[in-house]
Amino acid sequence: MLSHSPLKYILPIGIFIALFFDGSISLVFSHSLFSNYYFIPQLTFLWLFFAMFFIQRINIRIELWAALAGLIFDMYYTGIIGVYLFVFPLAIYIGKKLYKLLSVDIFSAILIYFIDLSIIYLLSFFANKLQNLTSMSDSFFLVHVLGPTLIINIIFLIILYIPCQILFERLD
Amino acid sequence: MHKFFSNRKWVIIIVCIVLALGFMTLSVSTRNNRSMPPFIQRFGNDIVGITSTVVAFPVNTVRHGSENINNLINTYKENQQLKSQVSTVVSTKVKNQALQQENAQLKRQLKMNASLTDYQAITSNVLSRTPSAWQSQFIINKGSSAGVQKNMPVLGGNGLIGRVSEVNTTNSKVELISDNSDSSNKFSVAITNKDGKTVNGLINGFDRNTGELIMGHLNTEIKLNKGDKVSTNGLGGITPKGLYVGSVAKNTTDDYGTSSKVYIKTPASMNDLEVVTVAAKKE
Repeated sequence: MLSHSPLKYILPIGIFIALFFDGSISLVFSHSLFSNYYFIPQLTFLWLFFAMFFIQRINIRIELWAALAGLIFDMYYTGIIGVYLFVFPLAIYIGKKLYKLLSVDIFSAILIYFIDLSIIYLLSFFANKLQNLTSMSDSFFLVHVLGPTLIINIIFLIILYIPCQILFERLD
Repeated sequence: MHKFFSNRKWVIIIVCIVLALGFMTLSVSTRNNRSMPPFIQRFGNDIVGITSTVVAFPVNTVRHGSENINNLINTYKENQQLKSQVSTVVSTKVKNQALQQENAQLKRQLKMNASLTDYQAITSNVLSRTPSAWQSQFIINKGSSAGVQKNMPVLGGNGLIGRVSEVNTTNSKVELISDNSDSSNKFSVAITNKDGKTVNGLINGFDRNTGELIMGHLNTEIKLNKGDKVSTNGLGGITPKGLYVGSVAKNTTDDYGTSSKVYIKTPASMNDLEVVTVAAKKE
């Protein structure tokens, strides 16, 4: 089934484009994104999330793609392998479990995405803290990083929900 | 105990946690000890870096377009200011030339080929920035093939902004000076006050609220005032001497009142970077 679907090509290409857009957006808008509050764009996970959310007919191993995206993210951006490599698939897995309980509409998408992103950032923060890679305090993280990041990424989700829904339904 | 581990999911979760921590420890120790990451990682990073330029190009083009319009508006104002400065530039240039000649002569007399202030500049473009709050890193498009080495200082805008933290063949990662994690190295700097007296120390902190660097644990009788210039002192590592870091913003005592703590204001914002210079110490 999968071998005849254009999704086989679209999914990895989309992962790569989203991955590089994350870096480019962070660079170009770094003045407004990383000043006092940290708004971290996370389009890579958004793309994986949409793939998980909209692809229903074909059984695609989205966790494996998430692990691959996480590995590239770790290698290229942070240089510390092992954070997103495991956190992305875990978030997708939890998203899939929650998804079975809820209906497919934008409100449940926002709810699941909110939970997934919180898991991603909390786990990666504690992993970095454990390895002494950051000296950020917990309260600073919650107020200055997690909050703004959730806000901006949910805005991205709302903007891109309908285009991605149309795209995936065409392809599926 | 038997029942707990009989569940396959638990085994998978525990294996994953162990693997994640293992991988992280491995990459942290690689970063701290080896001059280059392992071959596979370097190879992967090079391929990703090349692909990244394809996506970064249109984004940067859009950015340049909007910047050009802004620049045009600023040009007139700047021109007025610059005109008044032009007259002094020529005299400074001539003086500089004379000093350089004199310096070269003196060095020849001392039979010294390169001093601490000599460095070779490697100019490179910034490809992208790490989308992360606690790792202020960005990726530049010059690697070991252009002569970049680990721990070389990086200049941007008007002063020092960071150091090379990982070198691949065609790209490398730069860690900003504001990234004050325990694993990153510290910069050794000197403050010169108005009387010409110098205080040496380490940059060992960053104030997230004001964006100023902190130089702590200073025990000195020399009085430092606001506006005193801070530059690297060339001691330790491969950082050349005389790279401008910033100026003193305020001088206070630390929490225990035993030593003084100096806040340093950097000349340029570390966020608007497009072209940076890697300073390689001449051998």
